[in-house]
Amino acid sequence: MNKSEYLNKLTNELGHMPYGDVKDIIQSMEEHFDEGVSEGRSEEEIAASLGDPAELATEFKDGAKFKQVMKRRKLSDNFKGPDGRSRIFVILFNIFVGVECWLILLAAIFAAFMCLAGDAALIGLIVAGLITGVLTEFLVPFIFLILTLVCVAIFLIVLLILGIKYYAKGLKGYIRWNKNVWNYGLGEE
Amino acid sequence: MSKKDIKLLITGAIALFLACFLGIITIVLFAFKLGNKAMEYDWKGAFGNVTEQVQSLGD
Repeated sequence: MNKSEYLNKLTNELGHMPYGDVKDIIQSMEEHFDEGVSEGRSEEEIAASLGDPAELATEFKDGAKFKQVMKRRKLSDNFKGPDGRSRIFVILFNIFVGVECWLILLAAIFAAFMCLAGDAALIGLIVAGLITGVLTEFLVPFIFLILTLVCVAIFLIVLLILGIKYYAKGLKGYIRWNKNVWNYGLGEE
Repeated sequence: MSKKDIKLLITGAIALFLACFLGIITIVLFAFKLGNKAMEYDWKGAFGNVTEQVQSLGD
Protein backbone atom coordinates (compact mmCIF):
# COMPACT_ATOMS: atom_id res chain seq x y z
CA MET A 1 0.00 0.00 0.00
CA ASN A 2 1.48 3.38 -0.97
CA LYS A 3 1.05 6.73 0.78
CA SER A 4 -2.10 7.92 -1.01
CA GLU A 5 -3.84 4.53 -0.73
CA TYR A 6 -3.01 4.35 2.99
CA LEU A 7 -4.18 7.89 3.65
CA ASN A 8 -7.42 7.36 1.68
CA LYS A 9 -8.20 4.26 3.67
CA LEU A 10 -7.38 6.03 6.94
CA THR A 11 -9.59 9.00 5.98
CA ASN A 12 -12.50 6.63 5.30
CA GLU A 13 -12.01 4.90 8.63
CA LEU A 14 -11.89 8.24 10.48
CA GLY A 15 -15.17 9.25 8.81
CA HIS A 16 -17.16 9.81 12.03
CA MET A 17 -14.61 12.14 13.64
CA PRO A 18 -14.89 15.95 13.37
CA TYR A 19 -13.53 17.28 10.05
CA GLY A 20 -10.87 19.46 11.75
CA ASP A 21 -9.45 16.48 13.69
CA VAL A 22 -9.33 14.28 10.55
CA LYS A 23 -7.56 17.07 8.68
CA ASP A 24 -4.94 17.41 11.46
CA ILE A 25 -4.34 13.64 11.61
CA ILE A 26 -3.97 13.29 7.83
CA GLN A 27 -1.60 16.29 7.73
CA SER A 28 0.55 14.73 10.49
CA MET A 29 0.51 11.38 8.65
CA GLU A 30 1.62 13.04 5.43
CA GLU A 31 4.52 14.68 7.29
CA HIS A 32 5.39 11.30 8.81
CA PHE A 33 5.47 9.72 5.33
CA ASP A 34 7.57 12.60 3.94
CA GLU A 35 10.06 12.28 6.83
CA GLY A 36 10.33 8.53 6.24
CA VAL A 37 10.88 8.98 2.48
CA SER A 38 13.60 11.60 3.13
CA GLU A 39 15.32 9.03 5.39
CA GLY A 40 15.39 6.61 2.45
CA ARG A 41 12.46 4.36 3.35
CA SER A 42 9.82 3.44 0.77
CA GLU A 43 6.16 4.48 1.16
CA GLU A 44 5.17 0.80 1.37
CA GLU A 45 7.62 0.20 4.23
CA ILE A 46 6.28 3.17 6.17
CA ALA A 47 2.69 2.07 5.57
CA ALA A 48 3.54 -1.45 6.78
CA SER A 49 5.20 -0.08 9.94
CA LEU A 50 2.07 1.92 10.71
CA GLY A 51 -0.09 -1.22 10.58
CA ASP A 52 -3.71 -1.60 9.60
CA PRO A 53 -5.40 1.80 8.90
CA ALA A 54 -8.59 0.56 10.63
CA GLU A 55 -6.68 -0.18 13.86
CA LEU A 56 -4.88 3.15 13.65
CA ALA A 57 -8.21 4.94 13.16
CA THR A 58 -9.64 3.16 16.23
CA GLU A 59 -6.76 4.50 18.33
CA PHE A 60 -7.42 8.04 17.10
CA LYS A 61 -11.15 7.63 17.75
CA ASP A 62 -10.34 6.53 21.33
CA GLY A 63 -8.82 9.96 21.83
CA ALA A 64 -5.14 9.16 21.33
CA LYS A 65 -2.97 11.98 19.98
CA PHE A 66 -0.72 11.62 16.93
CA LYS A 67 2.53 11.66 18.96
CA GLN A 68 1.21 8.99 21.37
CA VAL A 69 0.21 6.71 18.49
CA MET A 70 3.58 7.11 16.78
CA LYS A 71 5.39 6.41 20.07
CA ARG A 72 3.35 3.24 20.50
CA ARG A 73 4.16 2.17 16.95
CA LYS A 74 7.86 2.74 17.62
CA LEU A 75 7.65 0.80 20.88
CA SER A 76 5.88 -2.12 19.24
CA ASP A 77 8.57 -2.14 16.51
CA ASN A 78 11.32 -2.38 19.15
CA PHE A 79 9.25 -4.67 21.37
CA LYS A 80 11.34 -7.56 22.65
CA GLY A 81 8.53 -9.43 24.42
CA PRO A 82 6.31 -8.99 27.44
CA ASP A 83 8.00 -7.82 30.65
CA GLY A 84 6.96 -10.05 33.57
CA ARG A 85 7.68 -7.40 36.21
CA SER A 86 5.32 -4.83 34.69
CA ARG A 87 2.56 -7.42 34.46
CA ILE A 88 3.00 -8.37 38.13
CA PHE A 89 2.93 -4.65 38.96
CA VAL A 90 -0.36 -4.19 37.06
CA ILE A 91 -1.95 -7.17 38.85
CA LEU A 92 -0.77 -6.14 42.36
CA PHE A 93 -1.55 -2.45 41.81
CA ASN A 94 -5.08 -3.30 40.73
CA ILE A 95 -5.65 -5.75 43.58
CA PHE A 96 -4.42 -3.45 46.36
CA VAL A 97 -5.05 0.09 45.04
CA GLY A 98 -6.68 0.52 41.63
CA VAL A 99 -9.89 -1.48 41.93
CA GLU A 100 -10.57 -0.22 45.47
CA CYS A 101 -10.21 3.42 44.45
CA TRP A 102 -12.57 3.03 41.50
CA LEU A 103 -15.09 1.13 43.66
CA ILE A 104 -15.00 3.86 46.34
CA LEU A 105 -15.64 6.50 43.68
CA LEU A 106 -18.49 4.40 42.27
CA ALA A 107 -19.94 4.06 45.78
CA ALA A 108 -19.73 7.85 46.19
CA ILE A 109 -21.65 8.35 42.94
CA PHE A 110 -24.24 5.79 44.06
CA ALA A 111 -24.52 7.52 47.46
CA ALA A 112 -25.06 10.89 45.75
CA PHE A 113 -27.79 9.28 43.63
CA MET A 114 -29.49 7.83 46.73
CA CYS A 115 -29.26 11.24 48.49
CA LEU A 116 -30.95 12.81 45.46
CA ALA A 117 -33.73 10.21 45.57
CA GLY A 118 -34.20 10.81 49.33
CA ASP A 119 -34.20 14.56 48.76
CA ALA A 120 -36.89 14.28 46.07
CA ALA A 121 -38.97 11.99 48.29
CA LEU A 122 -38.74 14.48 51.19
CA ILE A 123 -39.82 17.36 48.93
CA GLY A 124 -42.78 15.23 47.78
CA LEU A 125 -43.77 14.40 51.37
CA ILE A 126 -43.60 18.04 52.53
CA VAL A 127 -45.58 19.27 49.51
CA ALA A 128 -48.17 16.56 50.15
CA GLY A 129 -48.29 17.56 53.83
CA LEU A 130 -48.81 21.22 52.91
CA ILE A 131 -51.51 20.40 50.36
CA THR A 132 -53.44 18.15 52.76
CA GLY A 133 -53.11 20.73 55.53
CA VAL A 134 -51.16 18.60 58.02
CA LEU A 135 -48.20 20.97 58.13
CA THR A 136 -49.98 24.33 57.78
CA GLU A 137 -49.02 25.36 61.33
CA PHE A 138 -45.36 25.57 60.16
CA LEU A 139 -46.13 26.85 56.65
CA VAL A 140 -43.32 29.42 56.25
CA PRO A 141 -40.46 27.25 57.67
CA PHE A 142 -41.59 24.33 55.50
CA ILE A 143 -41.66 26.50 52.37
CA PHE A 144 -38.08 27.53 53.17
CA LEU A 145 -37.21 23.88 53.79
CA ILE A 146 -38.59 22.97 50.33
CA LEU A 147 -36.49 25.75 48.74
CA THR A 148 -33.40 24.45 50.60
CA LEU A 149 -34.07 20.90 49.43
CA VAL A 150 -34.56 22.07 45.82
CA CYS A 151 -31.14 23.79 45.98
CA VAL A 152 -29.61 20.62 47.43
CA ALA A 153 -31.22 18.62 44.59
CA ILE A 154 -29.72 20.97 41.96
CA PHE A 155 -26.30 20.64 43.62
CA LEU A 156 -26.58 16.84 43.66
CA ILE A 157 -27.68 16.71 40.00
CA VAL A 158 -24.62 18.82 39.01
CA LEU A 159 -22.41 16.61 41.16
CA LEU A 160 -23.81 13.47 39.52
CA ILE A 161 -23.51 14.77 35.93
CA LEU A 162 -19.88 15.84 36.43
CA GLY A 163 -19.08 12.82 38.58
CA ILE A 164 -20.37 10.26 36.08
CA LYS A 165 -18.72 12.08 33.14
CA TYR A 166 -15.29 12.32 34.75
CA TYR A 167 -15.57 8.85 36.29
CA ALA A 168 -16.08 7.36 32.81
CA LYS A 169 -13.30 9.53 31.35
CA GLY A 170 -10.90 8.66 34.17
CA LEU A 171 -11.69 4.96 34.04
CA LYS A 172 -11.08 4.91 30.29
CA GLY A 173 -7.70 6.59 30.78
CA TYR A 174 -6.85 4.25 33.65
CA ILE A 175 -7.63 1.17 31.52
CA ARG A 176 -5.47 2.61 28.71
CA TRP A 177 -2.61 3.20 31.19
CA ASN A 178 -2.97 -0.38 32.45
CA LYS A 179 -2.82 -1.70 28.87
CA ASN A 180 0.33 0.34 28.20
CA VAL A 181 2.07 -0.82 31.36
CA TRP A 182 0.97 -4.42 30.69
CA ASN A 183 2.36 -4.32 27.15
CA TYR A 184 5.35 -1.98 27.33
CA GLY A 185 6.27 -1.63 31.03
CA LEU A 186 6.34 1.32 33.41
CA GLY A 187 7.36 4.79 32.37
CA GLU A 188 5.87 4.51 28.87
CA GLU A 189 2.79 6.49 27.87
CA MET B 1 -12.54 21.03 31.39
CA SER B 2 -14.93 22.40 28.78
CA LYS B 3 -16.92 25.66 29.08
CA LYS B 4 -20.10 23.63 29.57
CA ASP B 5 -18.55 21.84 32.56
CA ILE B 6 -17.41 25.11 34.11
CA LYS B 7 -20.94 26.52 33.73
CA LEU B 8 -22.31 23.39 35.41
CA LEU B 9 -19.74 23.73 38.20
CA ILE B 10 -20.71 27.37 38.80
CA THR B 11 -24.41 26.36 38.88
CA GLY B 12 -23.59 23.68 41.46
CA ALA B 13 -21.57 26.10 43.58
CA ILE B 14 -24.40 28.68 43.54
CA ALA B 15 -26.94 25.94 44.44
CA LEU B 16 -24.74 24.82 47.34
CA PHE B 17 -24.37 28.40 48.61
CA LEU B 18 -28.15 28.97 48.38
CA ALA B 19 -28.82 25.63 50.10
CA CYS B 20 -26.60 26.68 53.03
CA PHE B 21 -28.13 30.18 53.18
CA LEU B 22 -31.74 28.95 53.01
CA GLY B 23 -30.92 26.09 55.38
CA ILE B 24 -29.80 28.53 58.07
CA ILE B 25 -32.94 30.66 57.55
CA THR B 26 -35.08 27.50 57.79
CA ILE B 27 -33.45 26.46 61.08
CA VAL B 28 -33.97 29.96 62.53
CA LEU B 29 -37.64 30.00 61.42
CA PHE B 30 -38.25 26.57 62.93
CA ALA B 31 -36.54 27.68 66.15
CA PHE B 32 -38.79 30.77 66.35
CA LYS B 33 -41.95 28.79 65.68
CA LEU B 34 -41.08 26.03 68.15
CA GLY B 35 -39.96 28.63 70.72
CA ASN B 36 -43.31 30.38 70.42
CA LYS B 37 -45.11 27.10 70.83
CA ALA B 38 -43.02 26.30 73.89
CA MET B 39 -43.85 29.69 75.40
CA GLU B 40 -47.56 29.17 74.83
CA TYR B 41 -47.53 25.65 76.24
CA ASP B 42 -49.14 25.11 79.62
CA TRP B 43 -46.10 23.78 81.45
CA LYS B 44 -47.60 24.41 84.89
CA GLY B 45 -50.71 22.48 84.06
CA ALA B 46 -48.77 19.61 82.54
CA PHE B 47 -46.38 19.32 85.49
CA GLY B 48 -49.22 19.89 87.93
CA ASN B 49 -50.89 16.77 86.55
CA VAL B 50 -47.70 14.78 86.91
CA THR B 51 -47.25 16.00 90.52
CA GLU B 52 -50.80 14.95 91.32
CA GLN B 53 -50.25 11.53 89.79
CA VAL B 54 -47.01 11.01 91.72
CA GLN B 55 -48.68 12.11 94.95
CA SER B 56 -51.60 9.73 94.37
CA LEU B 57 -49.14 6.90 93.78
CA GLY B 58 -47.48 7.72 97.15
CA ASP B 59 -50.78 7.68 98.97
